[in-house]
Amino acid sequence: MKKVTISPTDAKAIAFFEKITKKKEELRKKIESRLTETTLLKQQNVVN
Amino acid sequence: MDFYSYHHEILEDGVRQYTFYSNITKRIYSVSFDSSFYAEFSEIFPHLLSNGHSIAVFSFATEELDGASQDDKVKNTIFQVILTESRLPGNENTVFIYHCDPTDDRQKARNVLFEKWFQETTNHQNLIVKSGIEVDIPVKEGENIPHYLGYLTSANNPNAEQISREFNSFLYMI
Repeated sequence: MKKVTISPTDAKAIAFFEKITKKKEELRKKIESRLTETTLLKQQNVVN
Repeated sequence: MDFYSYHHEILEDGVRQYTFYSNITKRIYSVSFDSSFYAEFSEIFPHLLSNGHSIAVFSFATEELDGASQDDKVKNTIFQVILTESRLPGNENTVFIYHCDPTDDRQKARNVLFEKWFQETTNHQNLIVKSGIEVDIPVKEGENIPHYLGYLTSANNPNAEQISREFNSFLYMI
């Protein structure tokens, strides 16, 4: 696998990875929250 | 190829999500596709991102297990979902971009597993050309965090060469 090391001065590249990491974390939390809500609702027999 | 039944829905922001459960690992799996995740970069990488969808795979434990468990149907199901997405009308030349979640420092293990699954799974048929890259990001003096990302696209994608060129040069262009 190709490997690239980013320079500490490459602010754009560093910001890019910080951004997509943050977006991914937000997506994970959203999905987990929806799954939890759906499971809880099912347990209460609200959703079939 | 044996895989689990899965549930499909479109979330309010257009993200397409597939979920399934493994009664062996006792985990719920989510495979989601988002066509807007990398949209802000599409002008810079027209071939890679004009039809680029992020793919995110998460799993959530529903109960504690005493030890690790393996379920081959999980990988089969994930790739079946990717195949299903790729066959949707309009998705013939979609580029599925993955980025192994680094938030819990397990991104290397995820990448190794995904590479292994890709090699083992036969049901991607002629779907996929795959390319991956490791990018080391400096966080402090002498310390880097590795990120693993790559893409999957149809072996018949007429833009395969341009996509590969853009992917391999994107770090110099963002």
